[in-house]
Amino acid sequence: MRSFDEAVDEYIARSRDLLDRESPEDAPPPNAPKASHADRVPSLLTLTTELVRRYALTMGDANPLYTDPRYAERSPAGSQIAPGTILVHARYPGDHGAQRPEGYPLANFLSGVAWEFFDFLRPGMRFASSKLPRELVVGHTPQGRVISHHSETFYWDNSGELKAKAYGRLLQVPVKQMGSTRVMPVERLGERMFYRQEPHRYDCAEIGRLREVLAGEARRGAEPRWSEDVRAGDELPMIAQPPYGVRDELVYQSLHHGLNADYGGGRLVRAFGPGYRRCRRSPDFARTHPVTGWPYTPYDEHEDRFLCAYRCEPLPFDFGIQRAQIPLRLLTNWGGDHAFVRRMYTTMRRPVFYGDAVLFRGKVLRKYVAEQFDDTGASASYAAVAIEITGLNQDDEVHCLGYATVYLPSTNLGPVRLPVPHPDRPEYVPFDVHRRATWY
Amino acid sequence: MSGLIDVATVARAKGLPADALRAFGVTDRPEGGVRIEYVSPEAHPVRARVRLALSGPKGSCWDVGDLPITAYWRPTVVDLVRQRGVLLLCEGESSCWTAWHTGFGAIGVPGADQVATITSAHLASVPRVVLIAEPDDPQTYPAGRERFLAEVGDRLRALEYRGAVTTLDLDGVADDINALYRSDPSSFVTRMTLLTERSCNLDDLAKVVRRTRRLIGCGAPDVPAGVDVASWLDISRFAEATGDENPLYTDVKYGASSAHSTMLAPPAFVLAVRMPDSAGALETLPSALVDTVTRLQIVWDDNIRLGDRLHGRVWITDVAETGDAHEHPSARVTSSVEYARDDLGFARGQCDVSVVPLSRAPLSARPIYRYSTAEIDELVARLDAEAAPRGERPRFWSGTEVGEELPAVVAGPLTFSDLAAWLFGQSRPMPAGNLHYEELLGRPGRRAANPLTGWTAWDRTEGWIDSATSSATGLSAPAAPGGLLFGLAGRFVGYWMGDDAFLRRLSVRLTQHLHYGDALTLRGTVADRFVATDEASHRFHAVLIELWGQNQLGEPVMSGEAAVLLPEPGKPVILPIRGTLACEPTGRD
Repeated sequence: MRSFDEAVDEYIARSRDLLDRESPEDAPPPNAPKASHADRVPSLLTLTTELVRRYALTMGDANPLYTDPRYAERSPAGSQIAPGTILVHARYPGDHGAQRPEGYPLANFLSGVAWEFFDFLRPGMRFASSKLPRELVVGHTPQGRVISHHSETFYWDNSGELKAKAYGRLLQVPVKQMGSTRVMPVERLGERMFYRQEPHRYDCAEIGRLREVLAGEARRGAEPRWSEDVRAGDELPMIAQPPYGVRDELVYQSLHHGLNADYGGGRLVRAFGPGYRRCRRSPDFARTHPVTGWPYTPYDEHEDRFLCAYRCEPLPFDFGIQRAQIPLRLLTNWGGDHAFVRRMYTTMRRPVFYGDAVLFRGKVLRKYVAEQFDDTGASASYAAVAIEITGLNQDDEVHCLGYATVYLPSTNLGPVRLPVPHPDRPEYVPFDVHRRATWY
Repeated sequence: MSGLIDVATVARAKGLPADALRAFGVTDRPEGGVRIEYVSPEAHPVRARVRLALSGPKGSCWDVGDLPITAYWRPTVVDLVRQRGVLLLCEGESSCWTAWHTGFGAIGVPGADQVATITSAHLASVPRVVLIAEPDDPQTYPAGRERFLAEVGDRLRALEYRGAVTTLDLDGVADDINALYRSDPSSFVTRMTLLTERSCNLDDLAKVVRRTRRLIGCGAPDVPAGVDVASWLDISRFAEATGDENPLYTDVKYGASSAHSTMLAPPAFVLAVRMPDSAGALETLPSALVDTVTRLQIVWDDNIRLGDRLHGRVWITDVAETGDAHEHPSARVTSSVEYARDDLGFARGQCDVSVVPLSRAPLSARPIYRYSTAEIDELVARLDAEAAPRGERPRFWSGTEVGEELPAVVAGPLTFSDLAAWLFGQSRPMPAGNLHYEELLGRPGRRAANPLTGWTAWDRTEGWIDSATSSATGLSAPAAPGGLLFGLAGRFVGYWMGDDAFLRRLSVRLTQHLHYGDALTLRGTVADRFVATDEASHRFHAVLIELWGQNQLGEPVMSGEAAVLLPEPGKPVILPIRGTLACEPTGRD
């Protein structure tokens, strides 16, 4: 049997070998009807009026642009549109690196996603994608090595138009207690915990404040927010999510489940007999339940309080990918129907645990004119606003930081013209660039 | 005087420290018996009570004199109410001693006919009164328990009490609070806290029934729509949610080469279109009532094919106040459902949902089951040996016999993934927390305080998937919803009958919850064989399957029956069934 260090070394070496090659993740499940695309991975996601509406609700946004086709027809978009972040369901915007049936002794966390959107997404669209791991950086902390794994993902619609790109960062934290495989022995649960936390208990004043923010959320809607009316330092109206619970764990998955094959190309199943057989085939999927003793319990480390310790977490905790979507609402509530979110980056600083409230604030950093070009030299100018995003919990602890670029209508430049001109295959934007405020 | 009780005797009988009773003003009388000091909130002198025997109608009496009679109360109650936010309203003194000793604020009515002794001063700053309803007993309630409860309600209204009032029904739980304490003093505070949280207003059940009656014949307001198209993704999610590995439900090519010329959805997929599990008006009233599916039946006329456009309509057909074997109050809401494809009906069904007070839910149900090594080995062996779906090999009617056993199927141990997959398979919209919060504002019957976080706009139904909060939902642990158990039964029959057969009817009764960690074993036998003809004169060869499910302890979880139409050589099952089926006499019973 290989040692813990050898297993981590192997992961690093194998993952480095996979850089700049198409990721094997997120293929459609076997036997699914799917279109074929040369060099692109097809997705089962098909945008329908109902799916777009449901997706918008999963990210907490009842914006009629997404939920009311009749309203949307009268908007600048001219039809119902989908939030750009719906593309998480076309392909997960992060890459996990090398895989093997028994897994590697790593606890992984989605640490950040930067989106670039070029156009509206509309009902009727289907998608294909390409995800390429681009950077692997090994950092050293007092607790040991930390591996940052960066990828870029291209999203094309069924007309072959590039609609968006995403840059994802997955943190892989080696955990010695796991030994040389992904799953630590049940008797070692709790030995290493990244946090020590109980569910937050809300007092009347906290409940009152949170209810106030929830009730006060407003959408600008059809009234244009002109670029000329915006000033650096302007604050965006805050948005909030009530205390995170187990139901919230399932919201994102309710649309994502079943879209992809597992790492080995089989069905990514988790229930009953098929889930049991997957556990037998792929030991990195199976946990020994600390209460029932059942050794083929699926990997519900996010959702099941009995299994969180397998991820070194004390409580059920959110999927980072949820925080790569929800802040879009902060931007569109403020920008209104005439605005277009061109870029959005969120980086997750700590988990949102069971019982944590989630609040997002935004602040205008600067205004500028963005010139965008395609490969033919055609260009367009946009009134751009750079925004800083801050996610807080009920104790005002920062759980998320990020930036965004929002294009606004301008009395000088006119309405926001889409699609945004872009090269056919825009170059990779390295982490050290897309993580900085200056890129937005 | 010999034969009369003293404080020590009372303390022993009640399982309480004698010093505690003395601190509550209970003292020995020189002539025998004990004197129980009464105190009024206004500090007026009031009459004491004398107890001469531990029980019996002549065991106690009022002290001599003409001082006013008041309810049994002490000044410390004010602090206890402040700490717990609740005042227990009991009959008699010993319940009060038990409550005060364990940190609960309580007031005692000194006899069921003394309700008028409660005054506004007793209720000052009390946010919530929990009325303790002991089992009906003529010694405690000479005019009957219901009369006592009604009089207390009248009294509180007369005093213009504005706080919440709920009733904790101890019937079937304990004779009184003190008996509950004596049964296990160490867990009393936990159990009493849970019981008071679960206490409800008995009127609530009647209100829900009354409001639901208005809805009879109307669309169910609490059942959201699921899928509207039988897409590959939705079918495959549903198949997974019931552990169904039949390629007829996931493999387009396999389906195209089947007798159906296309991929199908499992029959129970109709539950993803709309699950008829309405609890009527339950969501519209704040209450401590919970609901659970107890019976579900679906009848199909045709298969569901890939790409079918589907619609389900659920309406409420009946509501009735019911009671269990112990006459505990409950209600049954019955819903009907019709499923249509392109506006043409192809299936229909009925569902019963039981609505019960949370206080009736088990308090100390068994913990999550822990399997021994031998049990794990046995489960593994059974799962590994489980038969694959029969698939394309027809099961002919003539090849079946009454008494034939179906291969048993194991589902579980139930995990979070199983419960989550069902929610995904059921395909109901899942809005994010902020939008769900808005929905809950209009659904006071689902709103509750999360027991861990105290967040007051929490959805009580989350206890079905959240092991930390299940007790607030009336469960001892997360549990499989009725629709999931129905789906598992459908899969069980489907594995046996093969692709060329047709599930005509499935009816399931649910007898107890399948909890997180439980393993379900489904068994069945062929109970009958018969021939039936539809209104287009198509003949069908049918079998009736009796099925039942038990948990790992052998306890019954569900029972039911299925009517399956099987092919005969040269006589495939012709669908759809037109109109009703008429059974032909077979000449043997």
